[in-house]
Amino acid sequence: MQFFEEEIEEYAKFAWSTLNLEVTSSKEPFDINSENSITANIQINGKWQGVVALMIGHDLAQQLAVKMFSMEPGQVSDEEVNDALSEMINIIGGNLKSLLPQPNQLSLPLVDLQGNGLQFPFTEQLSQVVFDCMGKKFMVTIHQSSDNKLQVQPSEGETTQAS
Amino acid sequence: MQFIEKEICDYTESIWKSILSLEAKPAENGSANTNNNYALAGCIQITGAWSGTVTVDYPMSLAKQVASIMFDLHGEPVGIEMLQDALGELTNMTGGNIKSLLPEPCFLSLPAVAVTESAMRIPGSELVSKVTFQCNGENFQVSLLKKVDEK
Repeated sequence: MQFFEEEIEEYAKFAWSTLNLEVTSSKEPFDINSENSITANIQINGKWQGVVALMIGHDLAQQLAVKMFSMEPGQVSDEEVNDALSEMINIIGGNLKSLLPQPNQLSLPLVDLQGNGLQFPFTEQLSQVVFDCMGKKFMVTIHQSSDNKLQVQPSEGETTQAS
Repeated sequence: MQFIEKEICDYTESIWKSILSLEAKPAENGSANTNNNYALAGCIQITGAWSGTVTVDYPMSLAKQVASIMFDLHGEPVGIEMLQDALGELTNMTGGNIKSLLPEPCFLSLPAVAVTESAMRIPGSELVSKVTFQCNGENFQVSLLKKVDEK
């Protein structure tokens, strides 16, 4: 079992459920090198320091924006895609934050729309969970600061909307 | 004069001089070269009593020079990880210095870097300062964005 693997699954499913979308975890890989992928991330800073990242294909990201802003598929701009992914990573990151040693703070979300893969120097990846939504894949990862020597055990936490 | 513009200039010049032995000066025209096909963008976030983001953007040609100097490569090929680590380190130092000017307590995030044709998007923030520098005939940019308070 990877670091907070169950919690990642729970919170990703919760985030997608806010848009009435169902997701299942998948054993198939997510093509991280696709030029069609988008990366959104949010950082947790404090007693534990690391990054929660969401990698998703452009098509699925657009569908999220369509749902979130009740728009027609052709009307969605980068701005809405940006905001939709920011909200999703904020929910997932905000819930994971509550399980980590306090005090800690959540950063602003950061979105790279260009499919070149946002990288996080000086971190190690702890977890990677791939999901399927409407036949399309997306992936959530957790990266821990290389300086972070804290060993954190997953714990029971309530699912809450991040503010 | 933009928010802490002078300090951004001073810190950037000092970091590039001390770490890379390179002269970085604010560009006279004040505008960035936005026509780079491939640019690297580094980003670090500040959270706490003041929340926002510091970004450093430069073209690939300058990225290779920086990594080559930082890792003492003497003309050897520069790997993508070295490009990322070098920009991560510069972004970390720039953000760390800027953080010291801001209200306490503040926390500095980990740096994130991307190969991107335009600046990364940081939803929920607004640009408060952007300074374009010149180094070895190349332009690079240091920007400071502040979190927009939710109503």
